[in-house]
Amino acid sequence: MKLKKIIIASLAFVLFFTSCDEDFFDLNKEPQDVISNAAVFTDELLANANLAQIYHNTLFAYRDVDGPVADMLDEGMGAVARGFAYWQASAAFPLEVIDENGAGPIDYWPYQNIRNVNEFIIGMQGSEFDQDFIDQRVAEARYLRAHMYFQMVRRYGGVPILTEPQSVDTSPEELNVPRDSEQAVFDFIASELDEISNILAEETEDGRVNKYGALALKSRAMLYAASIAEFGTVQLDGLLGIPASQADNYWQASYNASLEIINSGKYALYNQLPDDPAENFQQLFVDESGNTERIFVEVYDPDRTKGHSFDLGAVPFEFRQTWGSNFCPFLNIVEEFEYADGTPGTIDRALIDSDHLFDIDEVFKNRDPRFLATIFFPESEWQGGVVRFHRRTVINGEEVSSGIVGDGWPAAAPRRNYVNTGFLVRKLMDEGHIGPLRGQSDTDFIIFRYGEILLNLAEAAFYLNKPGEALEKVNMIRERAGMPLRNAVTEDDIRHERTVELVFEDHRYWDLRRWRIAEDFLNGLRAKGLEYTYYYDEDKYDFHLKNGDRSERVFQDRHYYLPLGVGRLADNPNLVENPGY
Amino acid sequence: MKKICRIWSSFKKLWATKTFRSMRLTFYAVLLTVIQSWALDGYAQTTRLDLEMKNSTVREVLAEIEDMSRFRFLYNSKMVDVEREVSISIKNKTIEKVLEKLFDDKDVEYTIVDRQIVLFAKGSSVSSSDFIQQQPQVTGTVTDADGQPMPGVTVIVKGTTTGTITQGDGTYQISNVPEGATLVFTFVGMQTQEIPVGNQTTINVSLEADVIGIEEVVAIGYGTQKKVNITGAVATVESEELEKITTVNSTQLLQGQMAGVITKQTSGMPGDDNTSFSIRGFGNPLVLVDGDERQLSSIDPNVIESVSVLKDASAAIYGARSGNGVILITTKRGKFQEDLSITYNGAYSIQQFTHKPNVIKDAGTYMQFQKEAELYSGLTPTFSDETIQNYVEGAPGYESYDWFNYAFKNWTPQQKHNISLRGGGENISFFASLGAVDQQGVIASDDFWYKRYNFRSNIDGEITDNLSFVFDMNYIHEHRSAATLDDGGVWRGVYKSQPMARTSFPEPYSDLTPSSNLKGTHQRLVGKMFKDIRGGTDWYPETFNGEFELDYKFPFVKGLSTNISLDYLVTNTRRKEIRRQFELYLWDPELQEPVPDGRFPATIVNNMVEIRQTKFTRVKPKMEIRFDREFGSHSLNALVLGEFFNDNTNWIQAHTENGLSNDLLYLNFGDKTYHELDQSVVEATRASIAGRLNYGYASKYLLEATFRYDASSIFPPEGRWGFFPSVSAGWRISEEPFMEDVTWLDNLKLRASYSETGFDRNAIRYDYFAGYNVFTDPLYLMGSDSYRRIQTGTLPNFGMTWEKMTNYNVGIDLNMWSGLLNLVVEGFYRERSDILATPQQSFPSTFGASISRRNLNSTNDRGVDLELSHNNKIGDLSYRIKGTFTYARSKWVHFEEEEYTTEDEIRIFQNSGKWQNRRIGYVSDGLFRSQEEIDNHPVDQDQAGNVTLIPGDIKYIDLNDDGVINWADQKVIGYGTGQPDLNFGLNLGGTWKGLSLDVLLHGGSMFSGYISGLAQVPYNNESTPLNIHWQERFHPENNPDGTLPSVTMGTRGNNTRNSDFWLRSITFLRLKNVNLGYTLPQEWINPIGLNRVRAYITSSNLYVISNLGIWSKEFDPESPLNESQYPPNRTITFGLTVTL
Repeated sequence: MKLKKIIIASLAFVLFFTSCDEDFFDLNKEPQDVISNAAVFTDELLANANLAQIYHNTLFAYRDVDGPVADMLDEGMGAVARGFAYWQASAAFPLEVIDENGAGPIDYWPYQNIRNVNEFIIGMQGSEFDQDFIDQRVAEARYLRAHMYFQMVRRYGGVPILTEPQSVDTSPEELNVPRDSEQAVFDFIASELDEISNILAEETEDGRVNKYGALALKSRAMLYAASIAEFGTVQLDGLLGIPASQADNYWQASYNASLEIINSGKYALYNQLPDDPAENFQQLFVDESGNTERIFVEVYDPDRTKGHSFDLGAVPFEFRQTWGSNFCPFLNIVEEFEYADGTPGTIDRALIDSDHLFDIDEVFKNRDPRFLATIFFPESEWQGGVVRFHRRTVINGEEVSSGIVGDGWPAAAPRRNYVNTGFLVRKLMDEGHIGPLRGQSDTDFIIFRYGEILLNLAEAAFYLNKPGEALEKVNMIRERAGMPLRNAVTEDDIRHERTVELVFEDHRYWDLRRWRIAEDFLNGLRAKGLEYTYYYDEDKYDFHLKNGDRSERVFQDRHYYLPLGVGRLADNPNLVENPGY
Repeated sequence: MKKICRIWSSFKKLWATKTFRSMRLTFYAVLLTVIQSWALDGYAQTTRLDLEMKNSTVREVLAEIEDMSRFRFLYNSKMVDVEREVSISIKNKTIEKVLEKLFDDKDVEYTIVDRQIVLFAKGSSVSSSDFIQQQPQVTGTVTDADGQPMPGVTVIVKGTTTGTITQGDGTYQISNVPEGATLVFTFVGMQTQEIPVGNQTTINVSLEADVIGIEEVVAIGYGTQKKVNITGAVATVESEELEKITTVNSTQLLQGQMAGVITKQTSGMPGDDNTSFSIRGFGNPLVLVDGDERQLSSIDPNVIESVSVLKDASAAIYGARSGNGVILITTKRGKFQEDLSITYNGAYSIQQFTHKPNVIKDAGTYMQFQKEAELYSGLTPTFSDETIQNYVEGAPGYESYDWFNYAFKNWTPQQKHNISLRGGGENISFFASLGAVDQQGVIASDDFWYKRYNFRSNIDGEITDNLSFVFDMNYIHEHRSAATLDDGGVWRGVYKSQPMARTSFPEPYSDLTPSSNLKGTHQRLVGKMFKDIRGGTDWYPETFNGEFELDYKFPFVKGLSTNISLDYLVTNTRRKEIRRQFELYLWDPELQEPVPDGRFPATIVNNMVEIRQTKFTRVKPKMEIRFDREFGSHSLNALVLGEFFNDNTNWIQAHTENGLSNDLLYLNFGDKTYHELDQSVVEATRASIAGRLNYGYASKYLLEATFRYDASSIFPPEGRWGFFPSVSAGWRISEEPFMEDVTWLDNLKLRASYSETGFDRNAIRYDYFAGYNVFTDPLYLMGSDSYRRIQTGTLPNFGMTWEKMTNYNVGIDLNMWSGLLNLVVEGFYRERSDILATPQQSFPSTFGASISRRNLNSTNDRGVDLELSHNNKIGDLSYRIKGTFTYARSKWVHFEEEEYTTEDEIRIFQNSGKWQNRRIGYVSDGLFRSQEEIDNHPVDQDQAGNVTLIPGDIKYIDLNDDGVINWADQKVIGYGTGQPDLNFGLNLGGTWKGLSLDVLLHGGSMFSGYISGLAQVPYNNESTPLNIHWQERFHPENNPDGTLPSVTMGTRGNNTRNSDFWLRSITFLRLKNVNLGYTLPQEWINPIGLNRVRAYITSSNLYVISNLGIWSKEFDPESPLNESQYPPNRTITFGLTVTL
């Protein structure tokens, strides 16, 4: 009896083990929090997700880095504006010294993402997806790769062009790829864009590149190539620079790409509020429905987890959520904006140095309408209130710097408004943006817009000896801006228009470089700001010039090409460093 | 008196809690089961035997019966002829029938007392009739040295076969004791005692532990072994020694107890006060509780029977996990035929910090100091002389506030209760234990604490003589609570609070939360200390495991048995974090009321709930086949086993924000916009086959060999299986014939071992699996579509494998003069290779992918550990002294690093070929004490002609005499700040009648502490300096003899260089534990039905001496020397153990 029970119990016990599912004893487990290679290219959703990651990892402009300081990096390098955190006082944001260690904050070496592109292309081409799906997605990936090469070539000159993922087993000689020439990289970008602009759809949803996005990149990239040929010098046995003789080819290539966009008729300058050019210019960057100016944008929507904190950082202190007053334009960019009548915007230094009292309406409000939509200055209006910048008030001959004086007038503006340059960035801000979700904004960042294409064309046309076309395009821009039209354009006029129109859109620093005027402009520059004393009885301001930069900037000839850095040279002996490092 | 009341009321509260109610219920339920099992028939009546033996001696037959049953024979071979040859064939008969047949008509009689069978010659002085009737009768109780009753002790009248065995309460009764007889008391592991009866009728005996431990059995991998036969390096501690230490966290039991174990307790945070430990400095060892991997920290010390530490080849049977050694915990079990004993163990402790950094508590000093620092930095003083004077005088409105006292309590309670039941019937035995722990933190908000409830039931049963089972269950519920600031955060918060800031506001503002810092961004101490203001985190780890085991002895092959078992473990850790919006206020002296602190408005963050849950399950079937037999002088023991692990880790996270209200912080009240979910599932399996062979000749020559094949799914299929062999040998010289005359030598054994082991815990799981990882935040947006993102990880790594160790160990065991001197010395050397490192020779950056870590680095370790003990008894006083000593040092053989070319680089930066435990830095030479001294200083210290130096800066030595202080002037300035290379312990214990005193000292040396953070730089980042900064800082006029650098506002790069100025090579000796106990005499407590009552007072971490010098008041030598510490607690415990 008992023995039987025992046998049954033992059997049941053993069966309990072995009847477990077969998986139980399997040593070939797979980690369940990763997706296998094979699966990715059998499911369109996964392929799209892979491409989304490549988009995500591509640097379109520094603004897309989430964080108020990083937001304005390029503008800071170009002495247009600076990002400051409130605790950083007047000049704590360091002027990066770029030396043999590398390009510091503006370094960009996205070979990991390029590898992702190359692997994606192979995966897609080996897949059994619908051919049109394959073609479209591969073309997008190639576009992103071209964009990354463009970001690199404008930093370093020639870099190695890799169009296939290298295998782990590759011999060291093959792994250690040498640099391709600067011209080869530009040519690669051009040929890629030529091919894929014929594949990409004419219209896509916001955030996905289309045919005209590819052409816009070509328009911009070829403008750079042409400038290098026109203004640069050939160095390192042709690794850097493009022979001047080829400049026209590149001007022409840019011209053609711009023209193709213009002739498509799909885009136009945003002009919803022709009677209020300032407000129109503000809305250009905010209005996202049927905005004919947007060619390629990066979409933001904090409700869908992707927001940015540009507004949070930029907003004047009086209107802040938590942060604010973070981006401070320098006086030199303020003065680039002409007065409304078209006269140059410089303020007489002698008047600043004297006891002259300025009328804000005259010196700031009476400027290019784009200025009103680009920069906060004393008594700018915002969200139904007023932004102030004065450090102190003189009332009844007495200097007061705290409390309220007179008719509700604060004796001093919030410290963060006046402590840096006395101006704040207004462009790209959404005035309707009150109480953002987690301090996050949903304003899309425009990567390419029609205005830039017109200016690209104007510049190319100018060097191709088509001054009429150049004038026409510049005047289109000025007309929309509400500025008097020109009768003729010079090189300076075109550059000036570009600076004013595209300021804070990630162009200025790179333009200074490609025109090879950065050394003249930036080296030794200590960018300035203004400190204001408000004379209550006169309702006027005394201006006082102050340093906006902590120290003098350094931009030497060698800085036209950024260093690859000792680290990269160390792990690849075939890489040659740029001159001067 | 007040305190006693408080203790009593908290005890009553605990008793009334749900847990204790359920504890009582469980107790009754278990009791019922036990009573039922005792109601079974007597063993002799129910047990049936089969026996088939030809031409065997009676001795062999009796031995065979003992083997196959639980009968034990007592006889005197001079009186009973056991060499007589018999043939016997019996089937399914009771023992009575067997004996009848065996001694048929021979003049042998027997008496069966349950399982004890006494054989004696007919007509001898003890005839069967005498046995029952003859007087006198002797009764008594046998106890151990601590007065604990000892069941199962054999009591025999010397020279006869008359005898008995003590009952569960230690009592015995023996009749028929002839005049002038002597009683002999014997028990495994105890010294045999002989006591002449005289005319006593009651003889109570206290047995001493057998110091040689000839019979002592210790736990080893997958089994037990007699200590004398062990050939590896195994250190053990038994429960008697462990119970002198009252701790919540079992990791602290290891401190100072065993040679070869290196420990460091860095924190006293409730529920997070783990002592880091390693065996010989090897890194995290494998910890097994009853054979299964467990978290040592959550084991109730009350259930631990013994701890074995396997230091060398003895660990090799655990294969790929064993390279850092193994700690085996065995839990208590019941015994068959053991009376039920119920033990209550309660302890109430008060805890306080061992060390308190003394920040400046009076605002006057704070301001004077700051003024001095500001003037010295060339700044305008922040505080006017008038304000300072007001604070110095404490004028109305200028009071100082003591943030340290605000944030910390002087002492805080901790209590532990445990009830365990233990006993056994005919064929079932059990140990059941129910424990509860409540540990409060020293932080004054009462929001930092730890609670644990644990239940364990270990059941052994016999189904037939050949088939038995084990059924163990264990459940642990823990709950740890902390406010938003973690332990270190509260310390930091105190450092960053200023004595001018109010700790609270007067009525009617007392509900408002004050800022604790008037200047910087660290004003949130108060809010973040309290859960109901800012929120906090709760952890709820739960562990359940059950094990079922069947053991079968094959009836036809003597010594062959098999064992199959199934172990199931599930740990479920839930972590809930909540954040509330809260507002801070500053006192406005003009308005005389609090105003909102604008620096951190309430709206800066949403309220938040986040729940993370990690569930780990392991199912582990195992099968063993054993063979254990002696052939004459040869003994053979073999084991082969297979086991399989199936692990599953499931992690889930849920997050939401902007809940309906600050008080409804549950996921379901959250704002949908903020809902976030995440999950990860990882499965892993492991298959193992292992074996061991022990051979012994006459207990003199001992040999052991083991092997293990291990395979783990986390490694690529090609290199998945590993083979881990070991061999060890021992020679007991003391057993050799030529040593017979050396009577003072009880035991001398030489041992040597070699093993190849592995360690796979550092390996990266599934690194060979190329796959895509998912990223969700932020999504990538295109039009109205939102895309999750996926990307390949690093390159698949097919070379990833476990770390490999080769271990060598030699040892000597020496016992002399019957326990007066015992010595165990071990010497070891280990080579460790295949340690993970990031390869230096990587692909060029253009390759676009990085190689994952590879098995590249290697080390070697060497060291010595020894244990020296002395046991003695003088009259009623018995005492023991045990000293342990461990030295271990590790050297990098290969360290993956760039190739250094210059001599200085090699000397300073290179790790390969150098000791691991060292620190590189500058060598200081006191302070510059005048500008003149700086001006005349021949060495350019700041590489700027010394223009940046000021009097009171640290002076550095120009080691290479090149006139400049730069990186090349660094050298080894001391040990690293990790675990000490040298550990020592001294364990002193004595008992006198019912009194016992145990003292444990623990010390460490050859490690360093680095004074850093706010302790290094006063007024750094808005911090409040320490008193010691004020007393010891140099200032040319105010304190020209100061020994610390002059104080300026902010950090001075010159003084924060990594130098020996701040490095302290630490040696410490800690009075780790003192236990004073009193066991009430039996005659007092027996009448009221109790078996044992022991009351004790224990103090842990009572005192420590160290060479920290001026910093020894501020810092515990085992904690970090900065503001991120929570020093270990000093506890004083009042405890009571009652057994009935």
